[in-house]
Amino acid sequence: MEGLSGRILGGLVGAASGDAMGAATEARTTEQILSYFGHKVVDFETPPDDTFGAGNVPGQVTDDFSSAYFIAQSVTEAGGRVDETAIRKALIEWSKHAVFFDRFAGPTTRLAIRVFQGEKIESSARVDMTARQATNGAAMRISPIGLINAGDVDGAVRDAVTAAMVTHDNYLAVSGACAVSAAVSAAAGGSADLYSVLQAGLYGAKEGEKAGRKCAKDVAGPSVIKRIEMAVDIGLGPGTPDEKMREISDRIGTGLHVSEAVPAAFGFFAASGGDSMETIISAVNAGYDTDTAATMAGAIAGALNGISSFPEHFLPTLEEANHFAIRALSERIVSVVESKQERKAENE
Amino acid sequence: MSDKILGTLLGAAVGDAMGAASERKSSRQILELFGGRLTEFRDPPEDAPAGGRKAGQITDAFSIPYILTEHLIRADGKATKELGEKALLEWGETEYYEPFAGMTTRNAVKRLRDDNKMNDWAYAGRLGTKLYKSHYYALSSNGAAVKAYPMGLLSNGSMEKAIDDTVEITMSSHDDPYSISGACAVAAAVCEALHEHTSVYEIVQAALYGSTEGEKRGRAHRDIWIYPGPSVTKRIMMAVEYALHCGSEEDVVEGLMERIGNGPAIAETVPSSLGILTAERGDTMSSIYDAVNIGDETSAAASIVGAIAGAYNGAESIPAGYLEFVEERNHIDLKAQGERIRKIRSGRLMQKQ
Repeated sequence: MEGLSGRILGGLVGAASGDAMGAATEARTTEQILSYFGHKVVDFETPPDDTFGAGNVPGQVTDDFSSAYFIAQSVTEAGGRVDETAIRKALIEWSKHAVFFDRFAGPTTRLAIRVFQGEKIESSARVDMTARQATNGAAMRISPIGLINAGDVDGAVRDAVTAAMVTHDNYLAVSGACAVSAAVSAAAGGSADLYSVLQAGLYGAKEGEKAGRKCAKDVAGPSVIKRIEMAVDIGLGPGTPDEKMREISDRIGTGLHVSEAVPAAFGFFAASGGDSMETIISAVNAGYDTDTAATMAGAIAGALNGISSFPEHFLPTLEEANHFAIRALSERIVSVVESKQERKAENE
Repeated sequence: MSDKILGTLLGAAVGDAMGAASERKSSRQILELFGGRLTEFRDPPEDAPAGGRKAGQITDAFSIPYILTEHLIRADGKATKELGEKALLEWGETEYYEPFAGMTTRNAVKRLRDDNKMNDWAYAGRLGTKLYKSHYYALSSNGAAVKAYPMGLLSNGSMEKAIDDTVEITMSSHDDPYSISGACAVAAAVCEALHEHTSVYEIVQAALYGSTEGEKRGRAHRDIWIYPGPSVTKRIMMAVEYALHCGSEEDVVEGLMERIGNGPAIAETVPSSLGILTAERGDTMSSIYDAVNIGDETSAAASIVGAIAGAYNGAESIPAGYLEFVEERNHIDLKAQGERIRKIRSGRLMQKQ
């Protein structure tokens, strides 16, 4: 098992590489991915001209990891304190980068950022649209919140509620964000394994739903908790990883809804026995919102297995293609985690 | 037979109109809003898509198939993609279009309107951006399924005709295999439910045959567009399995919502509807009430279960007075439409003999 630095860096690289690999396959079915590329996508590819990621170079990320990156920057600058101000600041800063925001920002996030910037949204929206805002946008960028809470699952849930509420204030989106944050926290905490990470994810989904029912809007939609259970059942059940990938995509779904992409991410992780690259490859080739599922699944698996579970060219390619300093960010996260642990030890 | 035909039309209309008041809400919000389960026609709340309309008024879920049925009757039951387009264009001129047109249908109507004005180059350019169908949330949506029962009615008992006709009509607005799969599941279920001797088991089997065949025939269609999404067939199996596990006593609605969902994706609404029918052993009003109270796309789900259960049990299974009330509220004539459908069906029977 790798040390804390290796696991934190693994979590970041897992999320970033899932996003960048998925940018090439998003919006396609598995068959369309195979027929376009002639093989399964197992490394960075150039996104086709007809997809959201068109124009990206191999290794370039989309909204998922880029918004996570800005959140991680902002929260580490604030010494690891997660509050509405830090998250808003990160998202506004992120929205200034046309390369990410203009091309990729999803519907719920886009609306929230317009509101932070003081725009009055037409109240001609007579019809309540909350049911269409239970999307995966809060969960896709939550993994840094899990990393700064490495080993502290309850802290990861608490901070994820705060972060998710800024853009996605309905209980399902909060539940999904907490599931991912809790799983990443448990994975990065050390001495975790596949089962304990899955258990932490379900714990997070339940605690997040509970918290969301108090502080967030009610909304009609399938349960993140039940769907994670169903996805994990498929993942741990019989069949080859490819067969399970198909079953997860057919039964759970891998679309925009938080109760598809988040549970699917856990399913791919389970179906791959927790292996980092197998998990990401499943998510990337399952079709639909592949980059989001792969970002979340990659963060969880990468935090569990550490940086050594990725090919050597991943980190330099990601840093170069996106002008990101991922290793430096990872070191700042590590020092936040260490100082939190010291404070905790002093208190005890 | 005339009672079964009228039951199909009335079940769909009643489900749509009752669901208009609970549309988009969660089951919890519905309970709170109406002080208990919603089991009657109520004015839709202001923030519902039907806000401002009256109790008993239908929405897109019934108005689209009602107009489609008129077109099918005039064509003696012969379904083509062009007929589907014409019916949709006519619907686009009605009061229902602005407040209710869903993402896919709105685009389909706009496209059909534009096609009349657009030159070939502009048309080709628009096809280039078609990968996302202009939205990404539910690539295969339930608008295809709510307008599928007329093909079940006019198939005259032939499952193959019901499925082939539904493929044609669905292609006019929802040209992808999963939309077609969900639509064919409904048409096949209605076709089966109209038989004199059938059962909920046989209706579910017909739905599964329809969804499987619809997906297959859809994929083989030359103009098909393939999108990712969950499998309608597998989700139907999951919903029915869950309903059977619940037995007949336990409240199935919450569990179906948690596992299957009832949003605009066709792989949610159609499976949840079949789960409800299974749990309620095909009872018309219990199924409609479940669908009205499950939350989210309640009009669509309630009109689907209403059509299938109405076909199974006939108009007699729907409370007295509902027919007159719904006809009067919406200026529609279901009895006359049903009678013309019956004539087409018996006309074909005589030709066969």
